[in-house]
Amino acid sequence: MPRYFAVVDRPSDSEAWADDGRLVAVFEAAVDAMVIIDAVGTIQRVNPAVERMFGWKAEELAGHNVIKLMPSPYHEEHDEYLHRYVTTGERRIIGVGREVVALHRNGTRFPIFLSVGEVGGSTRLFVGIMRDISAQKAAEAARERLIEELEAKNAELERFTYTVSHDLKSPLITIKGFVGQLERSVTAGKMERFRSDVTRIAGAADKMAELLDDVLELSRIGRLVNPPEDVSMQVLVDEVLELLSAGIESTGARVTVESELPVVRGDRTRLVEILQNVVENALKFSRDAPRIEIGARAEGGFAVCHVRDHGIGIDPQYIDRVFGLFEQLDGASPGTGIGLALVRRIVEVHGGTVWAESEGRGHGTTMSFTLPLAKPPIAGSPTS
Amino acid sequence: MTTPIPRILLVEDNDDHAELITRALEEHGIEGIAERVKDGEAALDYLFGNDAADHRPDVILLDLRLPRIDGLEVLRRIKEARELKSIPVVVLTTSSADRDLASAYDSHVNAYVVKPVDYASLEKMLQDTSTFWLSWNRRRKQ
Repeated sequence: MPRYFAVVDRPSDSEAWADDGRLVAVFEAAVDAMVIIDAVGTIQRVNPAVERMFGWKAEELAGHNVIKLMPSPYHEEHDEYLHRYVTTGERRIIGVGREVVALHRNGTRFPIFLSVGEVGGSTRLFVGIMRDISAQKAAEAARERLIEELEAKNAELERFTYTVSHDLKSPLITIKGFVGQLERSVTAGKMERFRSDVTRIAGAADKMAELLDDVLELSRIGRLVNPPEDVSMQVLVDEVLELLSAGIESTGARVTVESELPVVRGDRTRLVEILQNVVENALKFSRDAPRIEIGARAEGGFAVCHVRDHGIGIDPQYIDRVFGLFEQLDGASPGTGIGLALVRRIVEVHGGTVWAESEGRGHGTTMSFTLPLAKPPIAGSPTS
Repeated sequence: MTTPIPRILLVEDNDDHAELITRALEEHGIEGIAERVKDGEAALDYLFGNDAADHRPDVILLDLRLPRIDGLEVLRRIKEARELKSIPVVVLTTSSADRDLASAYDSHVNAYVVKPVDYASLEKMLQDTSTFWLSWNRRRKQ
């Protein structure tokens, strides 16, 4: 039997342990950092892994307290556990691994898994074996983030399903309900009511088709089909005002656009949809001759865009509801209430945020959203 | 003795549903919808406004998904108000979601009815719930 097995089984003499060339080779070759300390924490010997992990050379550590490798409050805890073990034999760290924070020579802290064992021999010595778990911790944190994101997505999907099932069921109730009424109207000879009920049925069927189209449209936004491109907000605004020219003309709206709008980056078709929906809303919720102001400024890598109207405004207590799917603060408004839900989805897919501000009913509304700015051209690069 | 005409407050944003509910009630001799409001805020104005005591309903039929203030919030406010909490509230909704049902009962709803998709069931449901709650409310007032 090789001699070192006998030594490990019964380490009767630490010097003999240290002198065994093969055991020293194991100590030196270990990937984990190993530090041998005495009962008061003075470092006796370290292996080469310590230098790689902590940045200290062996000779810079020998004779120093282990505190050099372990910041507060971990070293105080460690000292206390060791002291307790020496005086009472209570094992709080001996033979039990635990996660602690280690201190690199350059001052950075990093997580390690530490296990401590008693080496024995004529002088009471302990060995601390340390594994850098930074990568593992980073992976755990990334996994936690991913789980949180998935949970948020799941909750969103649940809300979506809830809303869609409710809102699709609503026209179905109308259709089935009035179909049941038709026969009664005919039997009673109430032909006017019969005709009005048929109109209601047709209206509900149209509403259902509209809702289904909207749901499909919303689901498409998750996957941007057009590659992102740099596009001037000015160009987007011009395009939207052209698209909405009939509505602007018929309402007598006056639209003011700030000069020098920034250039943003995104799916151009979707960006047009954002502005179109927001400006359409401004027209829809304004009284006679709407006044609409459009502007944007660059801030922290994003364009902060706004569309301000002087229309009916929103009671601040309902301001967050306006972005909900099929939410309509005014039940009599035309449409399904998909517009701002679409806007929010497109903006978020582009990494931006959207919000509404209003001082209350009758005080107009400002819709704001952020979009990533286009990267500035590199100086001297050829322009097309 | 004549049966007093019940005063029903219908809180319903959908015009078609309101019409169906009204017809179903009428076919059972209940022509008492004193007021219909189309959103949660209007319902609270009706119930808590200055002249609310003059038109206090005997029964409230309440939709859940409403513009402005949702039905569950309206229900909570009714059941927290000393002068209103004894009015029977029947939630009448398209939602059969467990969480809505649980929230409504947590807020002391008197009945929770999922809107049926066929008219006959709607009639039957309204007949059952309104007859029960109207008689209960009348007895309580006597």
